Amino acid sequence: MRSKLIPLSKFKIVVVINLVTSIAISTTGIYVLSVTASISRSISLGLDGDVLLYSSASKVPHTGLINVKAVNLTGDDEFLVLSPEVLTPVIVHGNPLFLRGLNLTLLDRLLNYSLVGRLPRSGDEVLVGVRLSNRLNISVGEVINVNAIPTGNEVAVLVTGLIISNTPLDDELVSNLQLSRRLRGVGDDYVTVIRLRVNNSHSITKRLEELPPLKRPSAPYVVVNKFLINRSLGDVELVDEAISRGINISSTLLWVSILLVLSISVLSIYFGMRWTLNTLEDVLKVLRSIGLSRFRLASMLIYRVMLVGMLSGATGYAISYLLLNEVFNALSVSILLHRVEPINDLTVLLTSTTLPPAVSSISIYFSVKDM
Amino acid sequence: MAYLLRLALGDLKLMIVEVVTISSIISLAAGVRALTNVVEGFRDVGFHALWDYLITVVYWELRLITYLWAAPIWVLFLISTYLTSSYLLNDLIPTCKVLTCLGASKYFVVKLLVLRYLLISLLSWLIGWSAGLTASQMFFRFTAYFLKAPYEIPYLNLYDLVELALTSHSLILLGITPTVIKIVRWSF
Repeated sequence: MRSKLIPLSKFKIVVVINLVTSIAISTTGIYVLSVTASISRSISLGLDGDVLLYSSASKVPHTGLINVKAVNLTGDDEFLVLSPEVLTPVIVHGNPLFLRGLNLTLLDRLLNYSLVGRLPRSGDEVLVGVRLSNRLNISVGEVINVNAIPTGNEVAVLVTGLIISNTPLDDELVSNLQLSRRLRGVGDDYVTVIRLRVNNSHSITKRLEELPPLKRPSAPYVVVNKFLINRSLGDVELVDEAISRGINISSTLLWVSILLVLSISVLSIYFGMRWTLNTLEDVLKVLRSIGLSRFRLASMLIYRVMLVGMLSGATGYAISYLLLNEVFNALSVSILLHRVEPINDLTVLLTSTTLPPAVSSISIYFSVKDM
Repeated sequence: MAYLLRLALGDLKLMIVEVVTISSIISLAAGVRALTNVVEGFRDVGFHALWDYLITVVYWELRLITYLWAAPIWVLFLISTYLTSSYLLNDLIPTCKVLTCLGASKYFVVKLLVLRYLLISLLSWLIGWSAGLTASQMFFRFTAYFLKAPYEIPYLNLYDLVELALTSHSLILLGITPTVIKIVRWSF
């Protein structure tokens, strides 16, 4: 009987507001988490559990360099894998991308991958990631010109294989350390990152604390020479500064977007509920006057907003995920030259489904309290 | 005129709730626009070397990411403003019925509806962009301080304000049109 007095059709405004805020919260949440995860995966390759050592002097790990000798970890038995890697920004077919130089004999131990073709055997051969291959139409057996951004050197390299790993490596060129160092213009002692895989991460903590601080004065001599020839040494720092500034501002924007969407959603849901309750005021007053307690009245309304809120939350999340998946696939959205992939996140789903009913319930509490 | 204004305001408590609800939707769009304006500066890098390629592409990616986030929020703003506006004049229906029974002219009823529309849309726009801009600047300041990132000021330019005004006024008008038609048809 009471459900006929307050039918769900009276909650149209609440449904609209809840659905809209759920989509906004889910879209923003999935977006922010996907982008931040992609930034971190672009250097870590998404290999959870690995310890990465990179320059603390550089604001973006991708542009930094560290001295292997200063770190002095080579040949230590406690590591399952110790993989020095050099990231070099290069231009291929007019597109900037990263060439990752690594010890190719460790590739099997580093990650699970499929290979079409063979591993490079010399310093003028490379592997191409599957997504990069599709994007730039590069095939196995092709000779491509690689233009190194740090040094300006141009080399012709043979593509010996196609790597499919479901990691950010699919967006990169992969070579041995020799080629990557040559294009970056650094000596044999310098790398961008050292990847350590250990049995027990606690055992490595004390060892890492003993490492010397990796400061900028350890910048390699070869790079200093190259930049002294063509332009001021300051360019290296300016590039680092420019990229890190962009990344930092974007990270701030992403977190601000979450705060903005959440706060405005709370406001919209609260006042949207008040609007609905205002239109239902006559019915609610009648129910109160015929003896329905505030508690019963509030629980009756809360039951409805719980139903509406949770359904809209789940629907909003599903719409957002499908939409972002389509957009990311259609537009090949990338960050730091690596593809962004939408990730499912339980926290976002829970926020999207619980926030609207929670805020609506608070709104109901304040309205019913005064009746 | 004062009498007409009093009638148009109707239940003041309800009108405030309606204005704040529509304003909050507009403030979301305004805040998003203010934030996307921050990445507008990601154009002139100033490097005349190969590094320029890398930085330009990275900046382009960052701009695209921000715009792609803003796009669905704007679509949501358009849809929700239209849908919520369609319930705006419902509380005025009994007033119009009584006025018509008392012999009010068609012109008077339409004037009442137009005044109500103007009040709601103007107030919503004004509160909406002010709240959205203030919120985005406050949150940016807070987050930049917390993350130790550079502070940029989210802003709205005149074009953004005009665009927000035109969009919100048109959508509210579009939303209330069926109710207005219903009232006018019923009255006369």
